Amino acid sequence: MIPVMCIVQDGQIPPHAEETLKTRIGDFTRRAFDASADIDWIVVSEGSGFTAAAPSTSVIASLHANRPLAQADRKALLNELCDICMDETGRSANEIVTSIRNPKD
Amino acid sequence: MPLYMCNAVRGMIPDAAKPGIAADITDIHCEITGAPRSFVHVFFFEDAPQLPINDKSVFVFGSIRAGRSEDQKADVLARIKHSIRAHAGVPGSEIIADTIDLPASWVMEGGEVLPEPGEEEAWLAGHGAA
Repeated sequence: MIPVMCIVQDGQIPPHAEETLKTRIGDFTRRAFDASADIDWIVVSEGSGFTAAAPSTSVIASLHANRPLAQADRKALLNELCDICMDETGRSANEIVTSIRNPKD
Repeated sequence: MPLYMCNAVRGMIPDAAKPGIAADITDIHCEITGAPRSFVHVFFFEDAPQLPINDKSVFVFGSIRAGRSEDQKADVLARIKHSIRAHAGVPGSEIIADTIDLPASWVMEGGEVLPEPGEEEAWLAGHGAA
C-alpha cells in the first residue's frame, strides 16, 4: 500500500469530486508503484487553514513511494499527481501542493 | 512548503486565536529562514489522530525544506510555542513542537518543483509572484 495524505479545506470539494479524486489517486499509485493507495483524507475546518497568513484554498496531496525515485521520475509523477488534483478540485496549480517522498526508513 | 500542522485538544485553541497564530508562524518562519510568505501553510486541527498529542495539549508539526540549521529550527519552534502561549493561553509545558526536513526536490507547488533554500527569487519570478 502507498500511504497518501490528502488535506483539503472544508466545503472546497463536493462529495462526488472527493470520491473521484480518491479513485484517480488510487489508479495513479497502481500505475506508478504497482500498489494501492491508503488514503488519509483530512478536512481542515472553516477558518482553520492559512496560506501566507490568509485563509487558505490549498489542497495538499502527499505520499510515500515504495522505492527510491530518480528526480526525473519523481518530477514526472509530481506533475501527474498535480494534474489529477487540479482536474478534480477545480483549483489552480498555485493552490495545489504535492509531495512524493522516498520510502520511510 | 513549509506546512505547519497544529493539532490541539478540542477547545484549547479558540477559533479567534488561529489567525494570529498563523500570522506569527508565517512571520517567524520567514524571518528566520528567508522563505517567501506564499510558501507557508498553517493548518489547525482538533484531536486529529494523525498527529498524536499524547498527554499534552498542543502538537505543532512542521514539514520544512531541508537545509535549515539546527539553531534556526530550534528558534522557529521556540517562537511558535511563545505565540501559542500568547494567543491561546496554553502553557509552554503543554505544547510539543517538532519539524521534519524534506528535500525541496520532493515537493511541487504552482506546478513546479520547489527551489532549494536561497534560490526562491528566480523561482518566484518565474511564477509572476516576486
